[in-house]
Amino acid sequence: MHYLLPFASGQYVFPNEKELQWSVLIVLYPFLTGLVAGAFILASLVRVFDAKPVAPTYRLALLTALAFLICAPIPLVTHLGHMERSFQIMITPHLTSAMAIFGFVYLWYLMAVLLLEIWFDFRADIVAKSETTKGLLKLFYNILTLGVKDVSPKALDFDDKAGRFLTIIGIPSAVLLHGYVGFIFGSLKSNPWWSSVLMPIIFLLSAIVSGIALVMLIFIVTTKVRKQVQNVPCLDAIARYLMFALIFDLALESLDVVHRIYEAGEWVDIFGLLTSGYLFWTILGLQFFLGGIVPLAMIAFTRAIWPPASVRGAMYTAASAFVLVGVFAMRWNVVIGGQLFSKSLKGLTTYRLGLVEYEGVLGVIGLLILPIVILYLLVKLLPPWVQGHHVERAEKPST
Amino acid sequence: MKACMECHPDKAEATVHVKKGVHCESCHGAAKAHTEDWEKAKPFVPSTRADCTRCHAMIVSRPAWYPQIDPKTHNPDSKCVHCHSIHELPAVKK
Amino acid sequence: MSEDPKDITRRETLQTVGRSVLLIAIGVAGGVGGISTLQNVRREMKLKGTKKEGRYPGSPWYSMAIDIEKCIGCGRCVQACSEENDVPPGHYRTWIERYAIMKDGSVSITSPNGGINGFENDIDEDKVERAFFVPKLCNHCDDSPCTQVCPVGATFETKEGVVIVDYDWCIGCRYCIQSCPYGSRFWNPKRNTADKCTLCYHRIKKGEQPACAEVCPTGARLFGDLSDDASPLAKFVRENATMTMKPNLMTGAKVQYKGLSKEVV
Repeated sequence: MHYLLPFASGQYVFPNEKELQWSVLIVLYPFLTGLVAGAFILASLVRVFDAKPVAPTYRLALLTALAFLICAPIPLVTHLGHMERSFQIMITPHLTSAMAIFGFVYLWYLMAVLLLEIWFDFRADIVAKSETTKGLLKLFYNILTLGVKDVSPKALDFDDKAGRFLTIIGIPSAVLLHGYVGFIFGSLKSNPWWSSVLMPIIFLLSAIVSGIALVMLIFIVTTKVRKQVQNVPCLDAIARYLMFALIFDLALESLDVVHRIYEAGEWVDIFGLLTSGYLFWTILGLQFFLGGIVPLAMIAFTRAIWPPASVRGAMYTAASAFVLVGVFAMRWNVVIGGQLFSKSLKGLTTYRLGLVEYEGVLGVIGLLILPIVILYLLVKLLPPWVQGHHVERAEKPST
Repeated sequence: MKACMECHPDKAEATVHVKKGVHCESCHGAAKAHTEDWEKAKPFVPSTRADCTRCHAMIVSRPAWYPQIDPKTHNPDSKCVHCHSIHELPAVKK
Repeated sequence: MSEDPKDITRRETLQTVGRSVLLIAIGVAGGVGGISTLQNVRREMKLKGTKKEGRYPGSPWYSMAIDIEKCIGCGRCVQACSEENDVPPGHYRTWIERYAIMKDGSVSITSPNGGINGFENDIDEDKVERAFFVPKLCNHCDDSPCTQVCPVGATFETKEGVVIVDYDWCIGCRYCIQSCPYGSRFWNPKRNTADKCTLCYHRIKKGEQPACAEVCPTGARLFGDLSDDASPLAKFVRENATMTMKPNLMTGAKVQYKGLSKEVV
């Protein structure tokens, strides 16, 4: 009740701030790009840091990153007031704007890093496919080879080297892609909820957490769908990375909270009101408890008592699902939370999420299913289950 | 203001409001249409108590120097223009 | 393939020298860059306190001064602005806030419909210690956060110091609305772009007053040219203790307030 005192005589919201500007679509955008960056960083663990036990997920992680990257700009563009003018961000970028860089960062990451790396990694498979398929599909694979059909050991060796090089470029690019999203929010001095140097780093760490969890979940589900036995040693290894990433993520997010409470700037009253009211359950319940402490405890507990493989697999499945919910809640708390208070710092507004409207729940669900559909197609076209030649027969899922 | 004076110098000459720097459109509303076709578009003519109390009703947050009346006790049944002249001096009719 | 140990030492020495030279060069370059940047910053900071000339010498540097002690809260300015600029209902290029500081220390801030219909005397006078109206509008910041963040440069500062939006170039990302610390920008649902006060650019270019200043019956809004010492605005700012909104944010807000109370947000 202490927090209510400064507003005892009524709140005040600037008359132009009664409506929110950025809807749930802008919650989706950092969520989707975060999954891309996280999935890519998991893949790069295999390539650059030689994390052999995680190798079976390497190619799946790359395809996941691509599928989600294709969808990442959709919520952004559809939220524009003038979609038909979106190309202007490329032809007249205003260089002092963080947002102006989006097009370039996105294209760099899509074209220079992800597509190239996938091409080098799957090139041998594509060449093989172009020889075994017929008709239109054959044409498709032939086009994908870009006319390079050399699969000699020397050529494959070059593929491997190029892929490795691209991964090394890709890690800072993935960091840039998502750290930059955090910067868009963190660099606004007008909004104390966003304005923080920690913002890009927190965004990045939660991105890594969510990407790892997503690839793990997809890996578990696809193994199940393909009626294969779960590769639990691989899951153990991913879960270990997930645990470390979660610890860092939770530590930084907690630091942010503690810092804000301790510093207690002019915004302390309105933040208190906000976090004890509208955002109470999404911050404390979903972001910190369900999405942070619970999965962390589950993985730590699993690692401590080491139950049978099937139990471990189930624990990991639940933990990764919780993490995804928690990271989505974190994006919600940042994007929506940062708009729920007026810049007068004297009053709160509300946000009502509709079900079947243009920017409602169904649209969000659609945009979350779309990358899965794209991933399904990608997996059909470029099956990631066969190991790339560079992974030297690492632990294959036993059949 | 200048535009109004072209046709209505008499209206604006000796009024307390203009002397205080109040522009015609403050009370008569936006009147660009009237300057373009004065016969067709007539500006708003304030006549009710509400038109006057918009500025002159007693509000606690109005500065003390500003002339205000309490509309509930200040001749509540009478129109302001019965006693007050808008376009002539003195402001209170004899 | 055996090498003369002397050669090895020589090569090592050369390498060390080379690396040292490189490091020193980087250090010197960084130092020079840093110092010159700092000097620029200091020059800028010096200017900021006293600056009245605009970025474009010879061009007027328009702004407005608000005399809070003169505002009677009639709302004519909000109404005039809305009619002049076809502002969609529920959005405000300018608005009036009423502050009432109660005897118990609490502060009531209200702005029903931006004050477009004026205010009612609906506060218990016996409990009020002090009360006043504050008209608000875009501060036409010199270092405006909104023009900084626009990804396509659709919002910009004219050479007269007026921040305006090019409605034909705005893509409608709303980043500028988020970046304004004053709540001066809004979403125009008719245009599907960001919108804001233009200081009635179409009027002031013709030598007229902005609509709000024109209709203000008490002269609480004083529009003018800050760079012209002889202008009433420059004189007003010279002669009175004035203050800008949220100066700590270093936005270079140009709208000057006389009689600004600490309660004003």
